[in-house]
Amino acid sequence: MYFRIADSWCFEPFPDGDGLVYHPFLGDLYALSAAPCGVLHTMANGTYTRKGVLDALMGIPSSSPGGERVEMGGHFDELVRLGVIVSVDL
Amino acid sequence: MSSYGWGSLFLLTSELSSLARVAQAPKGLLSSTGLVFSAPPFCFRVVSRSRPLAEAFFSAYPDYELLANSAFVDFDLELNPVKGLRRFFRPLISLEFDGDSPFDPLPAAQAFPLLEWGLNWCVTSSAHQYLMFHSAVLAKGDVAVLLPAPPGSGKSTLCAALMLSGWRLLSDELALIDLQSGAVVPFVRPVSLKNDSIALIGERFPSAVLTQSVVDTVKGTVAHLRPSVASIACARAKARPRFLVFPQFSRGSPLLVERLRSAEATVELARNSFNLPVLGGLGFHALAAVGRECQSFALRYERLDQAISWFDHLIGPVLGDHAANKSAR
Repeated sequence: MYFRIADSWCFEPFPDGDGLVYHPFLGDLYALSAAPCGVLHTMANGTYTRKGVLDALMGIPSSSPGGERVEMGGHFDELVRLGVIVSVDL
Repeated sequence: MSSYGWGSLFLLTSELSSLARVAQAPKGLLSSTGLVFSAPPFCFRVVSRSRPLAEAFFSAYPDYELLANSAFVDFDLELNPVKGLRRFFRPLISLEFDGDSPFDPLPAAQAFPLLEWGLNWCVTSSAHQYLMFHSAVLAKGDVAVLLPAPPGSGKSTLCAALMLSGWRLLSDELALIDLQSGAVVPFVRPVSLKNDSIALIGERFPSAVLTQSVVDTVKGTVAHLRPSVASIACARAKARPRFLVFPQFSRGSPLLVERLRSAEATVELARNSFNLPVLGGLGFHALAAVGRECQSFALRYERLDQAISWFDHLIGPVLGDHAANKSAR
């Protein structure tokens, strides 16, 4: 699964799978976490590739790699609501 | 010469000894043309008739390069007593920067802290060729540790203790990030110590040179620690940011270290930025580069010796790798 960041936002991936998105003149900055208890999962070059993203998009709880159920949402839902994440392609 | 070379310390120290230094112009500050000095990467002119200011300045800045009065200066500051009847019972001093007065006057005894805060203000409000953070920066060789933290976290105390334990000071207050290379540009200045930390550092490090304490400032009692000669000698040697450490002094706490994820640490670093919104996308990419390059930790500490030992262990393996890489080349 892939998704696209709105054109006006900057994106920076991190080697551990986390990332940052930033709006260059609004100044909003979000961390996208790939942590087991976090909000989003693995990303590379602006794409996210885990089931958790879809679960988050649909607003349902997802599972961490260890099997412990965690609440998804948070940053991701907010980013979708704000229009930062503009499309998802399964 | 490598722009980062710790090995160049001897050469730089030799260069420093051949330069005119502030200590050679004891009355310069009080003259009508003031004193022009270099605190790389900037040059300042300071003019003042305040003797307490001149005394503190020569205690904190004697090893800085003295420049000719005709030299180009980036920031021109003047600190003078406020005129009027009030000067007879509660003398005040005001700071002027290029003819403007950005701050309210302060009691005359606070002249040196006012100068230090004024210098910080000049840089943070103008030097947007750098991404700037409220952060101490220390290094060994060209390996830098950033300590971003709000006031009251013990950042300056830790910074002073590390410098006095052999670390190179790049800054106590301002991390300047070169937008092209991502390196930290040193801006070596006296370390601002507050309240209990003044006696703590003075007692633990008897060789530390501190200005006279100034009481009742907005930050409580303040004194400034003279930077080490080695730090000033390397004031043009950039360093690579490799560690982000968010310190928090906590009375009664054992040393506690928590590894942070890079992205969350980078967001925390961004909260300490002075000019990220000014730089927009350019600043964001530089911010992310710092975050990517660094291992990040939250550090809770009470005892300085434990904290210093932790920092030494933190950087040791990286310095070892660095030395191995250099010898391989």
